Amino acid sequence: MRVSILVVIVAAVAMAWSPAHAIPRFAARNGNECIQCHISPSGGGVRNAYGRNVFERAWLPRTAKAKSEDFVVRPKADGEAAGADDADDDPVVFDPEINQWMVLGGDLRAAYLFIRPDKGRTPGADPEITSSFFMMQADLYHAMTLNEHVTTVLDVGAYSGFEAWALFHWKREPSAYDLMLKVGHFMPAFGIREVEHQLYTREGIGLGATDRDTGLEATGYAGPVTASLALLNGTLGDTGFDTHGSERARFEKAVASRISVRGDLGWARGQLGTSLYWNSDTNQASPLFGSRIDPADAAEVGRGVDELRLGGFVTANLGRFTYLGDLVWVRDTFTSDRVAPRRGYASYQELSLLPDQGIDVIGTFEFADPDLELLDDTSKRAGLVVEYFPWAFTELRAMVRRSWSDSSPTGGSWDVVVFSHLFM
Amino acid sequence: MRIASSKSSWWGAVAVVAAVAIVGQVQAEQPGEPAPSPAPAVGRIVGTARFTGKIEAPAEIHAHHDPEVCARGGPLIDERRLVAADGGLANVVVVLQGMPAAPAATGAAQVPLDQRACRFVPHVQAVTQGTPLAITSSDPVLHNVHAFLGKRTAFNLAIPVPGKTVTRRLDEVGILRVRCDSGHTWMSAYVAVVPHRYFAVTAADGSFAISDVPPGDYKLRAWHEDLGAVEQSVTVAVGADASVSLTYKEPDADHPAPPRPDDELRMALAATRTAVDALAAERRAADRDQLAREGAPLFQKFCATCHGRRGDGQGPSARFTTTPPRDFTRGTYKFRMTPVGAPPTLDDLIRTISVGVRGTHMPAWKGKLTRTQIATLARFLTTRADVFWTDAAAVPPLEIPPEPPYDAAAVVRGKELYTKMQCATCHGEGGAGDGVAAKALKDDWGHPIRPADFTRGAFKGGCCGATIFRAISTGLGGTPMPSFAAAMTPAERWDLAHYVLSLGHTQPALDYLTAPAGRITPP
Repeated sequence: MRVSILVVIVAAVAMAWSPAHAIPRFAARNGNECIQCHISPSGGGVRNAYGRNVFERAWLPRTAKAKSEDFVVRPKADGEAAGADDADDDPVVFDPEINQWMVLGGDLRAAYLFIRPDKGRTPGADPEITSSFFMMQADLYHAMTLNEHVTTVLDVGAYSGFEAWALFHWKREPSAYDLMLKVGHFMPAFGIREVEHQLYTREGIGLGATDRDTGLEATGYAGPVTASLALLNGTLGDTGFDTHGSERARFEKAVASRISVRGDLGWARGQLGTSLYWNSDTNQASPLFGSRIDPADAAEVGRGVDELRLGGFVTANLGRFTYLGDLVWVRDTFTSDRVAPRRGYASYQELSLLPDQGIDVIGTFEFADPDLELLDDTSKRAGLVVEYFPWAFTELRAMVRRSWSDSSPTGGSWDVVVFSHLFM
Repeated sequence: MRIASSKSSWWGAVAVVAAVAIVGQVQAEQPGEPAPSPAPAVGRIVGTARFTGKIEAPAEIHAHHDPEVCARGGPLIDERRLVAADGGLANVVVVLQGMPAAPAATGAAQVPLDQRACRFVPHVQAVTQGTPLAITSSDPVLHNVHAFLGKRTAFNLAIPVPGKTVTRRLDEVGILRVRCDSGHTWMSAYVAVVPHRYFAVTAADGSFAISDVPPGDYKLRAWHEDLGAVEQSVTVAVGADASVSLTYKEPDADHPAPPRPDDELRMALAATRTAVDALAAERRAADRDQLAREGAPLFQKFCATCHGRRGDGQGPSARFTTTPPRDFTRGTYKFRMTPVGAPPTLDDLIRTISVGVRGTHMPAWKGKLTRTQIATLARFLTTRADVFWTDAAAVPPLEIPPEPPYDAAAVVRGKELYTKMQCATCHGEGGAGDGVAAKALKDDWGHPIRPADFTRGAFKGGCCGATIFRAISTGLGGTPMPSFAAAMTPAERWDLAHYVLSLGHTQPALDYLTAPAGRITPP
């Protein structure tokens, strides 16, 4: 089986198992950082008090929009009680907090997937159409505030492994600056942590849903600047000890870093950032180069790969429009002389329109090139997404996407995904 | 609605006690012959305030706004420290401590506060509690009298027309710090409101006198806007002058800058509480604690992330909000149906919690919380600030008359008022929020603040003419937007509101696409 076929299958499976994490569009639209709504400084997973009590409940859903007549000022009639002008029934006020120190949360996604490849996998074969219901995500979150400085988080996913970490805050009180230290098993901060993990700039370069690592990550912010630096085992998806027996003679760890700065002009706001990931000794090539490496060299690749990723990202918001752009350059060098070094890049562009509160229309475009030539072996993907948040903690999402691939035997495909997403 | 802690039965008891006391006094005076009026057994305090530091001529101020009008009175000078050649220090407020409260009677003579050639005149004055302050302007430019008591706005009144006088009764004891937000950033004045009549303000040579003082030993407290407070003992004898010399030194590292007028000084000026006052305060405190306990869990869950656990606007999410979350500890609110300076009603708080504040991170909680929860939160907010728990009489809320027709004639009349009231000073000729004074505006917390851009057709307080009428009438607490209630009739305010409405929606498609969606909900 050719590697390119594997890529297609992996991509399909990735689409099926693409857990939701942060939604950077929301942060970009409101001039925030991920930590505005999530406990994790790099976003994803269990939400903090603002995320679960304010944003998800009162800002996101369509029903949260105040009606014009609600604003009308009129004096109360004699004997009329305060607030008596509200004729609606009282809402159900869901409360995920067990007590003031412990909170539960979760993400639940169930989807329908349709994929129609342009061609069959072998010449003359019919395209293999996928039409299936499936579970994308079932994660349970638990967070505990041990004291003013320490929070622990446990995220157990039925399909995507787990996260478990503690976050130490230097500052006890909110401040213009703070330093946090995350220790445990988690997804390191890199680029835009987009909700779609099968993107070329996520799973396409080895930042998949299960690619969590063990180590520590320091994050500091001062005013509009946020910076993080992580030291990790570099054994993505593996929680075991990082040992290579007697072969290990040098410092072999992974380092991830991300720096961003926010700006807000009132009428427009944005963020500019850069990321770095260096894994000194991994045993697999970046998925970006999967189609360019001869399967016969798999054993040689397994002898060791030095992987470097450099990324730049930008977010911008103007009125109802929000733009996200992510560009990642990847370089793999191999211990074995038989495998030539590889350089390539992946990019993601997203432009969204918010027609009205609770409705998002999103256009996406991805481009990946494993050889920097821009001529062959490129992959392209364009999508149109409609997100609808009818009520608090509820999302309905529909996506149509067209992909083109020079290296895939199927040439490309039409994809349709419809899912419901409950988050709390 | 002002929060009243007392029960009717309790007030009844107070009334009975007061009645008995009055009757007893009357009965005590009845039996005797008319007593010969004795010579007043009083003395006088005379003295001088002196500054012993380096004497410098006051700096000249460059009037960068309305220079033609502001130059009419000659060069503007910095009045913060006026020292005579011999060291006599002007504008020192001198107050006798420990005197019983004796507010001015209803109908007491007014004291003036003029705005003349872009200066407040007088710069410093002291009045007895309850005295009406007659605020006027001699300048043909927009002025507003934005008075702070401690950190809280006590009142903010627009005086857009020369000769117009607005009277404000000064019922709260303390030192009012007055500024003008209309581009005249150098304008300042102080009005010390004293609970009795034993006070003075030093003249240009530093001299002062307090007459008709009963004999005894006293503390004399003096306050200067730049040099702070000093205190001195004085003994007054019948028929004699007690001489006092108040000395101010140059502040230095060993003598740090004095605190600005704040609540501590306000308390120092206050008269000794009576037992009845103390009991009432105790009951209010108990009621306040009860409301705080009831609302705290909801507040911590839904509000503290932005507004802070103490309600001081310092929550962990506050650093991401472009508009700082409200600091509830000052009791200053934008959207009220109450006159400027008065706390909002409970309905005002409920309304704002329910509908949110457009263009900010404050969401609409209606439909997300129950009505009971919203009301509980509103009551909790009242516990964050003393202004809700004073014994001042409740003020009637604003009455918004029925909206007259919104037609072309109303818009034309409103446009004339827009010019006459000099709204363009801040909001700009076209209402785009780009007036000449716009860039210098600051809110009560010192944050830069921009005037509303009427051309967007969206307002933080909500849609529709009534909310604009309300803003014109009551001002927006915590911002430079003053109350124009005294400057315009209700009909005129409606005309102006209609003109403001007419400025919006000039480019609907562009407005729609560029509206900062996600943080604002266009009407």
